[in-house]
Formats: sequence, C-alpha cells, structure tokens
Amino acid sequence: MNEDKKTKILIVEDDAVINKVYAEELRDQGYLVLTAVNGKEGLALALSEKPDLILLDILMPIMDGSMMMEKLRESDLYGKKVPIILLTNLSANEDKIIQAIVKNEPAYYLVKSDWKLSAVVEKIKERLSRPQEQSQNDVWRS
Amino acid sequence: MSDKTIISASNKRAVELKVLAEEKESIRRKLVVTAKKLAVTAKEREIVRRKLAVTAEGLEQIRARNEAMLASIGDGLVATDKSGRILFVNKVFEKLLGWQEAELRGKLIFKEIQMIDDSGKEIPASERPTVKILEEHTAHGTRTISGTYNYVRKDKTRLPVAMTLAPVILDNKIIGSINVFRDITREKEIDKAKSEFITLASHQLKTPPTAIKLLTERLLGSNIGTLTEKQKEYLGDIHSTNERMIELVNALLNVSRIELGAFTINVEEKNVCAIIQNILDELQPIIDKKRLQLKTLFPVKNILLMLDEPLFRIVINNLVTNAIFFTAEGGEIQVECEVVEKGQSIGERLLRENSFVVVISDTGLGIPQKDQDKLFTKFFRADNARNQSPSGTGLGLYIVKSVLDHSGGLIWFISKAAEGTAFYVAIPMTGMRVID
Repeated sequence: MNEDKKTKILIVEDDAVINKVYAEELRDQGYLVLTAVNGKEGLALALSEKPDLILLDILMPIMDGSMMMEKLRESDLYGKKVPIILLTNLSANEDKIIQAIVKNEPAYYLVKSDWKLSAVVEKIKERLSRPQEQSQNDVWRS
Repeated sequence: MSDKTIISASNKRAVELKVLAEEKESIRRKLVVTAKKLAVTAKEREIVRRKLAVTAEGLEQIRARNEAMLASIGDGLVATDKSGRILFVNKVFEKLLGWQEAELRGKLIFKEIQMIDDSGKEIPASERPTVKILEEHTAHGTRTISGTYNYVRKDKTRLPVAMTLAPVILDNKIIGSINVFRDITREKEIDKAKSEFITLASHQLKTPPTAIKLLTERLLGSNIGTLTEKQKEYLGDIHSTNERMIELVNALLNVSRIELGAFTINVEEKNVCAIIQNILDELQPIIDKKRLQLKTLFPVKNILLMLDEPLFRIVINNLVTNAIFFTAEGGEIQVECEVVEKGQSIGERLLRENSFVVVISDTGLGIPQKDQDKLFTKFFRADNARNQSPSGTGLGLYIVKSVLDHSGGLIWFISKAAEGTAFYVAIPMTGMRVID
C-alpha cells in the first residue's frame, strides 16, 4: 500500500515500552504510526501531520493528555473533529478526566490501558470504520 | 436704776441663760443622737463599701477569668449582636485573620470579613451562616450551624475553616451570635495529598504490569515468530501471574481509596440490568472455559437507578467472579434481579426500603458456618477458599462490603458448605448515596 494512503495513527504515551508495543502492533496491522512522549510533542505532531486517530495517555509530564486534548479541540476544524481514544489507568470516576471529556465532546473513547492489546486494536478499527457524525456522545468505560 | 431693778434684771438674765442652757442641752442631746445615728450609718456604709469592694473584686476576677478563657481558646472566636455587628473577637481570631479587635468592633461581620466558596466565589451576605442564624425569629431549640467555609484574611489570602455558629439567647430572644472556628489548612492539605497519592499510585503501580501484559501478548501473537511449546507455556505463566499482579494492585488501590476516605460517589441515571448483562458478557469467556451454566433472570428490564457505575461494577464483578471461581466445572451460576418493596422479605431478610435486589447464586464450595461471620473482614479467607486458590487477595468481599456500606446498599448471603452460596445485594430504589 502507498504510504500516503495508509491510515495514520498518533500515539501519545510517556511510557517508552507501552508506546513501542502499541506502535509495533499497529504497524503490523498496516497503519502508519507516529509517536510522541508528551502532550506538547503530541499536539505539534497532531497539528502538522493530521493523523486519522489519536491514542492519548492522560498522565504525562510536560503537558498531560487532557490539556493536549483541550488545546487540540480549541485549535482548528481538524482538531475539533479528530477521534481521540484516551488511554487511562485511572478509574473512570476520576473527576478530572470526566470534566475533560465532557468539555471536549465530540469523538472520544476511554480505554483502560490494562485492556488487552487486541481489544484496544479492535476499538481503534471500529472507530475508524465509522463516519465521524456517529461518534458523538460515546463514552467507553471498562 | 434701783437695786430691785438690777436684781430683777439679773434674774431675768439668769432665766434667759437657763433657758438657753436648756436649749443648748437639748440640741446637744439631739446632736448626740444624730451623731450616734451617723456613726451607725457610717458603720453600715463601711460594711456595704467593704461588701461592694469584695463584689467588685469578684466581678473583676470573673471578668479576667472569662477574658483569659476567651483569649486562651485555641479556636478563633467572634461574637456579634443581633444585627451582626462585631462585639468582640479573641486573640486567635486576630492571629488567624489579621485584624485587631479595635478595627472591627461595631462593624457588620458580613461586610467587613469576606467569605468565599471553594472555587473562590464570594458568598453573598444573605447566604452567610451568621445571617442565617440571626434571621431565625424563634429562639426555641438551639439551632447551630456547622460546616467548612473559607474566610478571606485581611491580607486577602484564603483561610479554610471548620466553623460552628450558635445564636446567643436571652429571655427567649436571639440577642447575638457566637462563631467559633478552627484553621483546617492542614486537613485540606492532607486530603489533597491523599487523593494525589492514590492518583499517582494508580498510575505508577499499574504502568509496569500493563507494559508486561502488552509485551507478553505481542510475544504470544503471530507476528513475532514461532515459539516452542515450553516457551509458550512459560509466557502463559508470566501472563497469568502478571494478571494477578494487576488484580492485586487494583484491589489495594480500591482499599486505600476507601480507607483514606478519598472515596466519592458520582451517581448518574443508569439502566442497571444492562450494566449487569454487560458484566456477564465480559465474564462469559471464563464461564465457558469452566463449562459452567449461567442462568439469568431479569423479569423487569430497563430499570433506571441512580448509580455510580464504576463502583456498582466493582460489586457485581467481584461477586460473579467469586461465584465462577468457587464453583466446580459443570456447576451452575444464577444471576437474578428483582424489585423488592419496603416491608417485604428476600433471602431471609426484611427490607426497610424499596430496593433493587441482585441475587448471585452458585452451586459451589459454599462458606463453612464457622467462617461466615468473618467473611467481609479484610484479608480474611475461608479455609476451603484458601485450599482452592492460595493466591486470592482476601480483599474482594471487603471492598464490596465497604462500597455498599458507603453508598447506602446492603449485602448478605445464605450459604451451606458443599452446596453453594447465594449473595444478595440491595440498592435503594432512590439510588446510591454517600453514607459516612
């Protein structure tokens, strides 16, 4: 497949091993994968490369995931619409995350990062296969 | 002038003198009486004066003692009259808020001293506790207001306080208010530290086993090259051991969340049967693996309850997982939901509230009679459970019980060793709510 036509996914995750595993699994699945280790890097890459989907960790140094999401949603038309899957180890009733999500509708999923790799990949595939209009108001809780 | 005349004149004089002398004597006697009376009065006055001196000294002592007591109260204190004008403040008040008493005396407390909510917004005068206390027209009972508030100091910084406010009542009328408060900056910091610890611990403790989980999954997947049977077996062992690690970390974090009091309940209206069905669907693979029969009885569907979904999930997931775990291959697990009205009984228990009840029963090991009263104790494991699975944490049921205790729910069970167990969970139809 031509590199330009491949679906582009951006992984923003500060743990090097987790970042690598997701990246390699997704490359094996045929995606073009970009990686960043904090929200600041992630935001810059998202705006310049315009990936089709972003896999985003919450707790990260320099700029955390919720801040990056907020800034992205405020940026431009692309930034408002790009689907984001939040990877989190925190319980879903953590106020901060809920607040970030409510504020940053539409288009997000929330995935526990101790989910199976295959389950996360499946969520990504499912999300990418759906038109963007349908994505509003989805909340995924494990 | 003749002698006779002289004599008569001298007699007259003598008479006059005598009269005069008599008058003087009478006056003297009167004076003596008056003097005596005065002496008595003076004595009495002296006694009164002495008494007054003693009383004054006593009053002075009482005043000094009251002042000393007020001054040495470790809490801040401010008293107002019935319109909210400041009568006095103590030393701690001065120290905590930065004003001297002289600057405040006679001024309206709710105008002079600002109060803000946790987000920094000013609390209007009508909402101030002092105003609320003073506005009560009837003085029957002694209503007090207690709570946590934030004062704004003279230097405009925030002072979080725990405060108790009471009306001062004289002859059945409210004549003022007394406000006692304590600096809770430290408590607030500890609370914050607690929840930060849990957030950080969740992240830091879960990240390494998450990485291991993902790596073993990659290795066992098809893209990395083939492994020998032995290598697969060991990787499988690493994977399941790691799963136990994740489970343990989750359980410990739930326990610390409960025990540190960093436990909040966020309810939303949820379709409770759909959540239970979803949990069962997630557990279906391990139910199938053990060749267990799963029966569900949801006679009424689409029941909406105010639930904290993650907490409710912890409860049901733990109970169903236990049922699966402690039921031998080929056994049966049943999950039943029903609405039970107030005053009705279920599972040998009378309910005092209209409740949504989930019954999770199995044909498993059962709980020996001697272990039944300790079942919800932290780290407790029944003997037969320990034999069956030495690796359990002993935290599951403790967490379940704590969650229900803190949210207004109930849990109980009926069990017979070697026959099976039925766990009953009751959630009030009014929903989960914070119980201290």
